[in-house]
Amino acid sequence: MTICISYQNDIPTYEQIKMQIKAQILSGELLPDTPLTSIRQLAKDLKVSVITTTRAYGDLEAEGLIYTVQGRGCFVKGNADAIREQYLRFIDESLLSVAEKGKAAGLTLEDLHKKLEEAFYGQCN
Amino acid sequence: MDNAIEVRGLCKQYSGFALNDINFCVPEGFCCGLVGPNGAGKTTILKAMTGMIKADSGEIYLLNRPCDAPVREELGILFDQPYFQEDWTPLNIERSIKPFYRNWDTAIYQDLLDRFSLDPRKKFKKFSNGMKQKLAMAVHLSHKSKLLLLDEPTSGLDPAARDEMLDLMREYLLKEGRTILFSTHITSDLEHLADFIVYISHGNLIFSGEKEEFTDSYCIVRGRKIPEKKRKDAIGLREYSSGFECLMELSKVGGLPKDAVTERAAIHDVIVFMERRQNNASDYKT
Repeated sequence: MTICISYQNDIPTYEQIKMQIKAQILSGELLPDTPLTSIRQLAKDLKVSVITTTRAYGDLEAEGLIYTVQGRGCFVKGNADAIREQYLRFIDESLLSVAEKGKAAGLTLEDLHKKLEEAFYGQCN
Repeated sequence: MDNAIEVRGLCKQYSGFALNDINFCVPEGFCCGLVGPNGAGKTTILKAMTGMIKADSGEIYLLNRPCDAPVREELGILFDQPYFQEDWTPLNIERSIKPFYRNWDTAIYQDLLDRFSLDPRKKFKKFSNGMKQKLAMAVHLSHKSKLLLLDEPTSGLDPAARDEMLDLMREYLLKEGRTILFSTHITSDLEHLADFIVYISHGNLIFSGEKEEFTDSYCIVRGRKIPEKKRKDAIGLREYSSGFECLMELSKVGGLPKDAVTERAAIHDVIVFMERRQNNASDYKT
């Protein structure tokens, strides 16, 4: 598990931690049942408060990506594939709706490309 | 969740200064920063908690008990300057302190002296400020305390020593069930460590709660001219010939002119504007 957070980012720290762990689970970089760095160790390593890491792990658990074993810590759940599938389906559906609304608003494919790019790199206003 | 610290209705009257009805709690396993300007009452609160002064009224529970002798054995208390005899060496210090703690662990103490490169035979007065603070921390880590009460543990330290001190505090928190309350006016100490904030000003409690909540509920507003009807919502308003600047509760930013900008407030900003409001109110009106 690797994490690199920016303290000067507008995205809250817990969200950055969550997003990065999530990406590593969904991409298969973190295999099922891999132990995650403990909440307290991660807080110390990243120089953030314990509440921040607790919140990130709590969210990941609520989304079904990790599980907790009392006294032993957090582990990657084995259903990353299923969740990834779910994401891909959601992306397909969203794109359909984007294309439809874009056409209605008179945007070209190029305009939409640009918008996606902006969103992807987080420069959306 | 159990509270490691509970302070209820704490009052203490001095001539010229009063601590008024202070209430806050810190859940077990977390780190809480006690902030406020000089003379706000931070040290008075810590002294009342440790029994160094007697409060006029109020209740204080540490680790679920009133602060009596058995609790003190589980406390680590550090006031801005460690209180050891000037001529004692770290070895003397161990010999004189060990009998008071049933859980004293010599192996841990020696490990820490080693790690901090503290010469066990050097006199206390010969150590630098940073080394003195580390020695005091080594003592509190060696008797397996559950609650640290630290009064400005980072003041007077250079940036590198300060970072080491903060790291030690983080390390202390690695074990479940350990809690820290520390006072500071260096707000960057809070950004990267504290879970909770207790903010005291002029003897009054202004805020106590989660750190995120503290900064998330305010924003900084800058603009050319503040509308008259928004004036009452402006905290610590500063007006100058080309515009204005103030702090505002996030829920009240509606109705500002279009050209005004709002941005996220850091802990530092919230405190600076709040203090400015206090001073504006008491000194002069512009």
